[in-house]
Amino acid sequence: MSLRIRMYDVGFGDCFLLTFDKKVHVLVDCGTFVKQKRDRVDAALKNIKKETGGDLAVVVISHLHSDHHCGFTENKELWDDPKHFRVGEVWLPWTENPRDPAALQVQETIGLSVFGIREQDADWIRYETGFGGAKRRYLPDGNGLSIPGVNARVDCFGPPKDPSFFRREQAAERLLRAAGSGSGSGSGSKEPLFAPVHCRLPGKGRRPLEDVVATEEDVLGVAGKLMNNRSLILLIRYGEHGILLPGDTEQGSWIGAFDTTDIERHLGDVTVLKVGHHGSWNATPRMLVNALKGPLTSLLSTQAGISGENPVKEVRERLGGLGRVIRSDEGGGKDAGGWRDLIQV
Amino acid sequence: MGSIAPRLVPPPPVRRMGVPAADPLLEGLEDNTSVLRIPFEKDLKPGPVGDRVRVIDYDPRAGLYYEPVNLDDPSLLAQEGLAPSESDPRFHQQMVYAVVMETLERFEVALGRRAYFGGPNNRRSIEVFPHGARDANAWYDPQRGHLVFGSFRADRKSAGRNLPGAWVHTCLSHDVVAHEATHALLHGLRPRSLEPTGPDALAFHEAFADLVALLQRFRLPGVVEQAIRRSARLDEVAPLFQIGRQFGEALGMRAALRTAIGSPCEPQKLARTHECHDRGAILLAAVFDAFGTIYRHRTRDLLRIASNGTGVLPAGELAPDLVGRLAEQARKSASHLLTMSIRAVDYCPPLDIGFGDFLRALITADLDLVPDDTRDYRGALIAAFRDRGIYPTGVSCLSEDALRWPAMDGAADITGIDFDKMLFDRPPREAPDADRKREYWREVEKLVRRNAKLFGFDEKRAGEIETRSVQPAWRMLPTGRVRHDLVVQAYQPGGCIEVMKKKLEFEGACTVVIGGDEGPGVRYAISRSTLDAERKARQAEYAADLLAGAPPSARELPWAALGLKHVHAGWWS
Repeated sequence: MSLRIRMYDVGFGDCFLLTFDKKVHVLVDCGTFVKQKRDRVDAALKNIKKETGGDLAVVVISHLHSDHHCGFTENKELWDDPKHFRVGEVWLPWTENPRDPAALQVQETIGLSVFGIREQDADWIRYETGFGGAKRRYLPDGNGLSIPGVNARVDCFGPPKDPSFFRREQAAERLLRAAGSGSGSGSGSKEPLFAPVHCRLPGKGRRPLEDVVATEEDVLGVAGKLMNNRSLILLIRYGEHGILLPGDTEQGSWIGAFDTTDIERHLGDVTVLKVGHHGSWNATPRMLVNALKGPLTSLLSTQAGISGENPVKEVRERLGGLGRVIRSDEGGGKDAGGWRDLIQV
Repeated sequence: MGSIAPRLVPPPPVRRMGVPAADPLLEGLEDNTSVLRIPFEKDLKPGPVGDRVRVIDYDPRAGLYYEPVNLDDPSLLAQEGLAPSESDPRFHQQMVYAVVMETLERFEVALGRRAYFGGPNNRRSIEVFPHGARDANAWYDPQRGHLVFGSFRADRKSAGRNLPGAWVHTCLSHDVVAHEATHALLHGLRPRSLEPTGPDALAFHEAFADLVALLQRFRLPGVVEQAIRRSARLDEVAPLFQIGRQFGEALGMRAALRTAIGSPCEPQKLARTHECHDRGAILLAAVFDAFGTIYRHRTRDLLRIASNGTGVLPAGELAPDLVGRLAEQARKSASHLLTMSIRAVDYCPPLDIGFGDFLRALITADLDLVPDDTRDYRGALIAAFRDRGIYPTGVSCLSEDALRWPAMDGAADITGIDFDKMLFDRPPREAPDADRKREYWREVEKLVRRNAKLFGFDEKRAGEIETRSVQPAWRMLPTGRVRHDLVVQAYQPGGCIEVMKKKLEFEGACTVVIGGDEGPGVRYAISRSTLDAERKARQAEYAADLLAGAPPSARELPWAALGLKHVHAGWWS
């Protein structure tokens, strides 16, 4: 019984290869946000081909942001060619199901191009046309989940079925760092900025201006947040290991997972955490960290200096208190090929 | 004796309002204030909501309004408004009102007419939300025509001079407010200026907003004196650059701006620099170099007087009188450069403004308005732009004559157009009634269509040329005379560019300056040709680049918002 997790250094993006018993392979995301790092993605694909011989039991695409999918969508010919890659199943969030009316509604209300994915690319991922016609699972779908050929328990806790969670935010104190202190988007506090003597509630007949003023989300990209909140949250338990893969899930869907599923009960089993959203301040909430027991290995695939202060210090420190934090962009034993092998059981 | 009716006292010409002299984002709120004198708006409602600037203090996050300030309260009229206070939202409202009004006034004085704000249909007034966001950010929203300022919590560990964890308000920074207001005013002057037509266009927008904010800051009483006194070295421009850099720090804390001003000149740098902020910083640095030269020139005699003709100052503190005189010269230099820069926009092409175009516009406008350049401002600007490697295309050399846009000299066909009526009909700050406006526009449109080829349009589709702006400009010359001109912007659609499924209109456009003084006629036609296939290709390439680098969430935005977002926030993920 063995497991190896390989984290590729693709800049600001995710690419993880899970290898069970040295023969069954699962690829979780493959993409980068930084144009200049596209060659790192190509190098990763080359290595994946070498390691797997082209056979992948499962490909997981956590959500449709290019830092998670461009390795697929920009290399469709490789993924459609059975001589190159053969994919057993493709796992996607339920919101990408092209035949589910609720998913279609989500896709419609939020629009397509905001995701930075072209329609034909999204279709290629969503329908059974892409990946050489591999079977799709849109998760969570209420049915049991397993990796073919591996005796592992797989649970899916998100994205929540209720899309209203995607927009929800947590009170500032539930995050690891105070909002607004330097990081780009959002902010928790709803408190007035001034003493009550200065405050006036909107009078009768006076329209609250929520819909008039552009909020910081409008300007700083709430649409990106909505997409991140459509990320899969997967927990794979194999032997004594529990690997939590939350994609880029942000505040809203974490609330959804905690409120509508029993994820909290399972978090004690987690030994490996894929840190969400490259270490941003609102993708690793306090309630998650509190529920984790450790010793924990946190995998932080990120690149400093690309997006604000990400990976933010508070996240690194709190997770560091639970065990070790391993960054994709920091050397030290990194193989020349730009990856690190993290767990060997 | 019959009763005598009380004689009416005319309203005062200005309203005096105190603003903090130091930047609260950098140094916390200090006691010392500078007093701004802004035009007195009659019937100013609480808000302040006036005819031109409407401050609406709504906090969308908390879902409530903050008590509006009534600047017409006698207690406030009898002093310089409310004293600076971080904890009183009414002071914040007064601050944004004062600075936006001041910026607007600078534009109107320089342009010699009413200035409009950008946004959906150019507007007379702009809405300002001093606490519209919880973020260390402020922005001009081109879709709605709003200025929104954010508040954020000071760092709990390194708060500088702020209280750790306390709210810091971007609306209290003179520079941030002036910068955003300038974006809105420049967008009003050039409605397509925010679209990604080329690397310089967006960089220009940002650099221009910085430029106006910084030069305006130099005009605040007391600011320059402090810097000069503190440094006690006035034979150099270093202290002036120092404050320039400091202001830059407050404006988004961007390293490019901080380091560019007063940095050594490297003429090759511009050609190597592609990122739009870095390019903008080079333009800003060039104007500041010229500012230094002008200041040095203006203070040379003072230095000689103060040093008994030796030019070497004695050690020790500077005499306060001398500091005052030097500061006055710095203020004057800044004022003049500011006026020149704003006037130059009227002489820029309507879209895709390049840095070289801006230099040519600066020179042309100044030659028109200050033909006798005794202080050699133009020489200083040309030298500074040359030293920073900003070379206009299509000029044979860097002399004033060569840089001036080519004069039309009667080449345009103007038969049957009554310029006198259009130019002298009304004072330029009063909008003409709708009927007359339409009539003038039709007249001008006729003129532009008739001269389509001359103005760089596709002659065969002259019917599609649209005149979008006809503006009078009554500008005061140093001699005391007034120059009457008409500044026209005409556009012609040139097909669509499709970039990643997103449509970007390609247009030809021309700024036509019509002069009324030395016999009416077209004086300049500054055009971006509709037929320029190379420009079209360049624009498509640049837009594609911008979109590819944009975060997914931003791609849905209209081009103007996308462009502004790009120059303003940089990208994030």
